[in-house]
Amino acid sequence: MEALIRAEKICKDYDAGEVKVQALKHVSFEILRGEFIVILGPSGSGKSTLLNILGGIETVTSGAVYYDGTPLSWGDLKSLTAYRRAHAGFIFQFYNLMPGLTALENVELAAELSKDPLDPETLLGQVGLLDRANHFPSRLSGGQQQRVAIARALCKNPDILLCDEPTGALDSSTGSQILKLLSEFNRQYEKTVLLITHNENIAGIADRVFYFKDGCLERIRVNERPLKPEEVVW
Amino acid sequence: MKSFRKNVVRCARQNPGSFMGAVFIIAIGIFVYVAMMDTLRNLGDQVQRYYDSSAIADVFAQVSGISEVELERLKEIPGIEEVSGKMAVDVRLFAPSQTEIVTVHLLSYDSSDSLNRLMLNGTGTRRDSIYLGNRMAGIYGYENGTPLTLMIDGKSVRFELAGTCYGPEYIYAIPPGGAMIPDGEIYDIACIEKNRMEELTGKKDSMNELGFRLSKGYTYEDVRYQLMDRLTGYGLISLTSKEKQASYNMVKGEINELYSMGTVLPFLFMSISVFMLYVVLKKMIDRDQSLIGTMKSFGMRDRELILAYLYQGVEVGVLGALAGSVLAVPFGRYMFLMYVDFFNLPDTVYHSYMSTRISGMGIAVGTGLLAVYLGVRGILKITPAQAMRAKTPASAGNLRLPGFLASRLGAMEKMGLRSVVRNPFRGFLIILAIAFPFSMSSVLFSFKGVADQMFFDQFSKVQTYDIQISLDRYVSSIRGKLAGEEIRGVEKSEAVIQKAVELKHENLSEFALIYGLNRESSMWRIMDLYGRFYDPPEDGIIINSRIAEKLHLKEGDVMEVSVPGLTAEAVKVPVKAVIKESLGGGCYISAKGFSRFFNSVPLAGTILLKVESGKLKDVREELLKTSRVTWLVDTGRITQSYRDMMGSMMAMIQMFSFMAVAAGGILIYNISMINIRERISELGTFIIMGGTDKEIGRILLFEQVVYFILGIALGVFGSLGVKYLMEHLVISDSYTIELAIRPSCYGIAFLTCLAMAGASLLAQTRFVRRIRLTDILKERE
Repeated sequence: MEALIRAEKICKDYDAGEVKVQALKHVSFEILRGEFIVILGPSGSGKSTLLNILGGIETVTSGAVYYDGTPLSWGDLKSLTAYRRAHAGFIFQFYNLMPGLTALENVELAAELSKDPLDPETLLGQVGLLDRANHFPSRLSGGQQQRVAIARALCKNPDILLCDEPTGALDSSTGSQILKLLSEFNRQYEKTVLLITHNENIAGIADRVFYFKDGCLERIRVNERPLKPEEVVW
Repeated sequence: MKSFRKNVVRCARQNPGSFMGAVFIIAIGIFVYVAMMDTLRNLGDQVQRYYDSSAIADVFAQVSGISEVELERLKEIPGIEEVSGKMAVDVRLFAPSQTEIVTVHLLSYDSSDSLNRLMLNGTGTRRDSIYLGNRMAGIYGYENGTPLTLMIDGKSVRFELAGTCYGPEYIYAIPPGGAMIPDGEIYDIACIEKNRMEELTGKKDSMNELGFRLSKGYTYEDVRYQLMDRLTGYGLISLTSKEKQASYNMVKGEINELYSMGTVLPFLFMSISVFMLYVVLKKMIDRDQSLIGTMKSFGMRDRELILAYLYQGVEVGVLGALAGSVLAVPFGRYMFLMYVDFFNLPDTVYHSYMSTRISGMGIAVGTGLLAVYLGVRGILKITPAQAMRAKTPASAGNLRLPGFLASRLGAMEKMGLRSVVRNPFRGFLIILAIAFPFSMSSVLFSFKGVADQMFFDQFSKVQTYDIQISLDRYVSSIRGKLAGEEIRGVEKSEAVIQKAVELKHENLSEFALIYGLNRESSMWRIMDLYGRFYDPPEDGIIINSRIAEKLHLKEGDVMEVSVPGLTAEAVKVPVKAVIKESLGGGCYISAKGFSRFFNSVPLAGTILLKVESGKLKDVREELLKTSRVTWLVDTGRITQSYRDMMGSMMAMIQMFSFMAVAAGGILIYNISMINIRERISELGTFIIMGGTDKEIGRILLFEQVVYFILGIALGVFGSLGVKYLMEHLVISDSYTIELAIRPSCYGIAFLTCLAMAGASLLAQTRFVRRIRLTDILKERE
């Protein structure tokens, strides 16, 4: 399989007052098209920083990231916006739905941003919320909101789904449903999924697991036989 | 407790724009309040002190002449406690450096006067001493000892200036001839010893300006008819209560106007401050919900928590009051001097009153505390358990759009539209912040144009003559006209009648001026507020609506008219029309009609002159030499004095417009920024999804357009309210302005508000550009 993303010795430093924090230290890896990657690591290990860099919302201090063989241009905000618009879909821990839009309108908003969107209603149906299409986020449960967020992320028809603790605010049963959806979409639409979590049990569903510690990619584990989401023990 | 307060203060400092905005708006309110109230107190106290020390009368009368003994007898009327009289006559004054015909209202001075005592400020009274009104003496810079010549009864008499004088009924000394603004250059009071006055006028013991003090418990109405009966035999010209006396009424009107402005305007600004602080504090409490819950779980009481936030209100109030009080000093002084310029007062020292500042501080702190309390009372509802829970997304703003709109609007427009209704109160405040300056400025900008138009119309359509002169005796109309035309440089001349009359209808009576005008005249015509012209009637009277209202008169009614010196009994005259006029307020009849109704030969005391182009100066110089002219009114001069008065008022009005726009701008900016801060997550998410700056701008623009349209719509209604307020606050009794709001002023107000909304949009867009996207990923709604 071809590499969708290639990271070469990326470093990210932050200035925290007088102290310089190295969030990422010479991290290199490749992510293949259609892969399901889980990134594991304790707080402060650099997982979120990596996700932000791959999502084009944060810059690297040194090193390079290639998307489909093309380097991401950190200095050019317009190209980063274009990259996010065309290729990246985000799923947030706290859903981040637009409170003034109904479930369907939230998905339609993503469709308006894309040149080649998927059908919003079909996607809402696939996440099981067609009957809630006209409900506003305030009237949806956390799990339902996250399902809308998944439909929204997919609607743009991105190549890569970046999920930052998507089950972090959900109970185990709802969390399992969300993972199932992500897994299904990963297989059905051949979307690359990058999922950050604290929960090591979730790592079982991934094709590969990246272990981060102190800003370093400590190791990569390949799951020869990934688990089905419903097999995950919470 | 102390630590928590410290935290609250520090958190508030993170939002300096809102904090300073609230301080600024409170400062504007206190500024207006302190400036107006200080001026009011300076003016009110000084006027009252003067009235008290000079024993101003309760009732005023003008007669042809009455002796002291006969005047004393009027004390027999139940309710009349004290009587006093003066001799008064309008005479020409000749003095160095005059370029105008200068007239003084010469009064007799008697130190034993019990009422309306003249206050003299000078070197003592001698036979040839004259005291001149402070205003005129000041304008000409006359020093004591300056020789002044009076033309009394055709005789030239030389006096020496001994000082300045003030009369309580001449604080606002209006020149005759249709002007309504004091003009010390051509008219003021003067006084000489009573004996000398008797000697010069040849009238011994004959007083014509009378004052009466009422016994306790009596009113003007109790003595009015008996006084009228008794004084008619002495040629009663006018009888008024103190409240209706020209100067008293004008001074009182100005003080009332100041009081209204000094209370209504600060109230408006304070209300805006309350709204703004409320929004800021409410947002702060929402943000601090978990902190408050945590503090409650630690055992902190509601009272302690609320007190910590109330401290903010005190701080905003105190800072606003201090800033407002400091700024008010020069403005208050300016306003006071503006009034002093028109009022003849013995004490013109401006005092800054501490009590005004203390009450201003009280109002400001009270406003701050009220706003903060309204904002933070939600604290009482927060439970410790809430500290641990994420806030549920707001359900407000979940507006169902009608099908036709839902299908036409994109998701971005829907986002914008629903954001408008998400927090209706806050949305309403933004709408109000656009409507308030729009209403204020559209009306205030119109005011100048309308006033200019009014004066322009009056002197280009109604009184189109160049000069009006008054003679020291009545002549026949034809003789008067011919005499005018004989003056070199005069193109046309007309003689008109001006007489003080008493009008009666039902049980009501009113003194007014009647004008006997010439039909088909082009120099003095009758025009109403709406530009309609009327011919002076021969078979009745056209009456001003203000007088008609007082006498309960309408068209077709018949009233009784008494003309002192002409009619022994009142004459019945029908009312042909009741008209509203911009300026002036008299009754009009044709010269022929006047002769017919009042059985007199055609007589005239006033000559109107239309001067050939470029000859005005020559004609004035010629008239200056004529001893028979008691006063001269130059329409250019009247217009100029109106413009001067309006200029001062306009400066004040424009400052209020500016303050309204500034307050609106601060409000729009702050509330918009609060709104946008609340939507960081929403807009940040949109950017992460790939939304471009242009698309963000589109969402924000859509919102701003909705607010703007609603704001302008409300502003149009508001302008009608402000117009009503202005008509009742600013418009004087002596003129009526139909305050039509001009489309061009709506246009300027629209552009001003558009600029404010545009600036706010720009600030919001800049703010969105600075959102740290990395924070969005972990942010709770």
